[in-house]
Amino acid sequence: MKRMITMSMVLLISLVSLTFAGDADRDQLFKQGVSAYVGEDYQHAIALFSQLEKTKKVSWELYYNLGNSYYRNGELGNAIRYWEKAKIIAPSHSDIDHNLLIAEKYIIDKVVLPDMFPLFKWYKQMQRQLSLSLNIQIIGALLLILILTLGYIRQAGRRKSKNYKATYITVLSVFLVIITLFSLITIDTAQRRKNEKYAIILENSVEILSEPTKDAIVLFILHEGSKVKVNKNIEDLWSNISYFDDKVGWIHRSAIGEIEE
Amino acid sequence: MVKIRGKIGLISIILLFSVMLWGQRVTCTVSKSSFSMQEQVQITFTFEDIKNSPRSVDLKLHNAFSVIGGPYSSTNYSWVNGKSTSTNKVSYDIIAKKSGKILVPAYEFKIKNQVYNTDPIALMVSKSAKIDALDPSIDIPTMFMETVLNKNRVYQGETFSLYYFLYTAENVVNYTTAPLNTLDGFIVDKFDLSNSPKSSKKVINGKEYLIAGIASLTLTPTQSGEFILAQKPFRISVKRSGQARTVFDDPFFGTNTKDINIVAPSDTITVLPLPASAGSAFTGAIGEFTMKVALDSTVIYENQATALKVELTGSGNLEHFTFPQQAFPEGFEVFEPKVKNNYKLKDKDYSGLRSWEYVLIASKPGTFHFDDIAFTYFSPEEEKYITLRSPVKDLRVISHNELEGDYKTALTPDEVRVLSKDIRFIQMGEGKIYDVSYDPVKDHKNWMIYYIAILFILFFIALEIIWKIRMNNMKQIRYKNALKTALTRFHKINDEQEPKHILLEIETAFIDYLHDKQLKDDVHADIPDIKKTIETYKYSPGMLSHVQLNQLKDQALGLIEDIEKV
Repeated sequence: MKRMITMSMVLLISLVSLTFAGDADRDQLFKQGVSAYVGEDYQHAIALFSQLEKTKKVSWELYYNLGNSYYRNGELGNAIRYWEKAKIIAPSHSDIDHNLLIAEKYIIDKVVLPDMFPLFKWYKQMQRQLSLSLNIQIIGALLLILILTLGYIRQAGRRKSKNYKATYITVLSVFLVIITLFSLITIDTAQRRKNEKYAIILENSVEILSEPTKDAIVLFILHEGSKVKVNKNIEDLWSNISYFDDKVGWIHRSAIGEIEE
Repeated sequence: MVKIRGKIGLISIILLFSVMLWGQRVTCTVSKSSFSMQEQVQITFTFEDIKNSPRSVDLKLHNAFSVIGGPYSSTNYSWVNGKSTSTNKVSYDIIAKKSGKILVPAYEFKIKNQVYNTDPIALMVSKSAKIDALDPSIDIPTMFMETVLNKNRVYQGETFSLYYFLYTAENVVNYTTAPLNTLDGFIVDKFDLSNSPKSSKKVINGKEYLIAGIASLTLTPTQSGEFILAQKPFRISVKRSGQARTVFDDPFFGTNTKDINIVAPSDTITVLPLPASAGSAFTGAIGEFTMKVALDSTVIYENQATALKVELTGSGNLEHFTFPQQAFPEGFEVFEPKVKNNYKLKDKDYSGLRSWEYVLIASKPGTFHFDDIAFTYFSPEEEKYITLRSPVKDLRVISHNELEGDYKTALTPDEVRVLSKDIRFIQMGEGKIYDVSYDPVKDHKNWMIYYIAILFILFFIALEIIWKIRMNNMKQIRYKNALKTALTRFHKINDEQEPKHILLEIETAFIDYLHDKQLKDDVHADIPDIKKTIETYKYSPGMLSHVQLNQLKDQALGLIEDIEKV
């Protein structure tokens, strides 16, 4: 029995040490990446941060730093791609928004869209600023508040032998409207995340073709940094993309970097 | 003889007509012969014993007076010694437009071929005196208005304001006036009837007045010259104590609300013409301004857009001018400027910011030089034109060949700094770490709050069930103890108690018993009888005897016994 306890203890300590050792290594690597960036060795910084990315454990800070390193290294497409990745995890972080805004100035392909209907604009903004996790949590919190409020009203009514039916219905209606609104945003965001894939053009200038063959007709040209929607992929060779919904064509997969892989 | 008779008859008829005409006359009166321009007076025409007298009069006073109310008409009939007389009055509320001696002319009325004349009336109208300088001997009204201009002399295009102050010694509950949307020679920027005006107190000639700025008018003149800003009528509702006169007045508190028409006096503004030689950079701006000019970026690529932003900050007629036409170097496609307004109409004029953003798209490479941005405004304080000038940095447009050949060098940190803004610094450490395949929908932590919510739902359901069980138990307990409780109550009753009290005890014991046992009236034929007896006794508590009550008690107890047997 004693041996078993000792063995278990050793195993547990080893596991904990391994975990912390892993964390320490990661931390070390991240700091090395930061040092390389500060020392203006951007290629080395990219290599170090990419090494962390390969562990399949990521953070918005890692993506953000990769974006900055690519930007300083003159790779606008990759910079935008990684900032977009960071934005999925931390949608409302101002540093990411700021950098994306700066990067937009360098994008050659510019499309001026007409002003959206204010409500639709607000909806899009909400969708962009709130992460899926936060949305789920907000709805949960609203539900919890609703249940506690209704419970309190019921108990108070019973204690005072009064009927708070009107208050009950008002609270219920107001909360249901807000919860429905947030639920719509959440469901829409989740659906879009699931069904819509986006990518960034990584090459300086790339031709978008009518068919997935080299000899196809050139439909239009896109430049580095432009964001496209990936409709479908043919193995690792070709991707069918659309640019602002109305322009659709084929591009070589190596010319784009998908935001969500 | 016949002739004499005929003469007598003719004389009699003439005399009769003379008597009939003796009392017929028309008079014109004014309620006050000496008053100020702020006071409302009444002009009345009285038609005595004249049939078919008019219900309105053409006043012909438009040059000297404004009619603000009327015609009000009233008729009085009286019988003296069997003879009837009638008086018809037609009145108007008027207010003087000018000061000095004003003559109300003689009026002529032609009614049924008969001509009636009134006498002319001389009136003395004093000017709207400055409130502080009122002669103490003058009896000033309990309510009047004052018009105050924030500037007495403005330049054409210079925004100014007119304030309407109400002086009142009465309890004002409401006020209204017609909104003013247009005025010849002016742009009406705003007419504001204040909902909650600031007020102060002032004693004038021993009378305490509450002073409130109830309305204001902001104007921008479009022509030069002397302008009279006309009188403005207001309707003021005041609450006065005294006997209520109509059913609509407050009959319980002895107060009534009365509407009073009052006029704010006119005032004169001098609008000066703007001096000549304004220059091409003047587009009508009057006030005090500062200018800021910024080019979005000084290095751009061919076909890329940049923006030139001009920002004007200050106060004046911000609403009424646009930015002067600008000339840009060749090689740019220039769009209509995007105008942003962030100014407000404050006390006297507009103040805040206006900006014009010109979007420029470079169509060819090179280095471009811009002319200085110039803007001229007229300063009323300094009484001269002032021109603001701001240089614009040269703009370098890089060609696409340069872009493709040496792209990396074009985006070095130094180059980025040239573009005036740089990216933000990297993050020094990591926060929360996620798996690449992380899906927020599948993360239980995100759903934790829902589990808590479900727990609370269960908790409240449990509370509901417990409450219902407890209520059922209460019913059962009361059912079991019904007889015991009723008997205890009945035993407590004794003859020393007052009949009223005994009746109440019997009623409580009996009714509670039925309730606890959950019995309805149709269970036993005697239940309605006893209830009826109790109700009957309640209406004559003073006539109740102990004997009657004891009988009732026994009857109730007997019934309970019967029920218990069943």
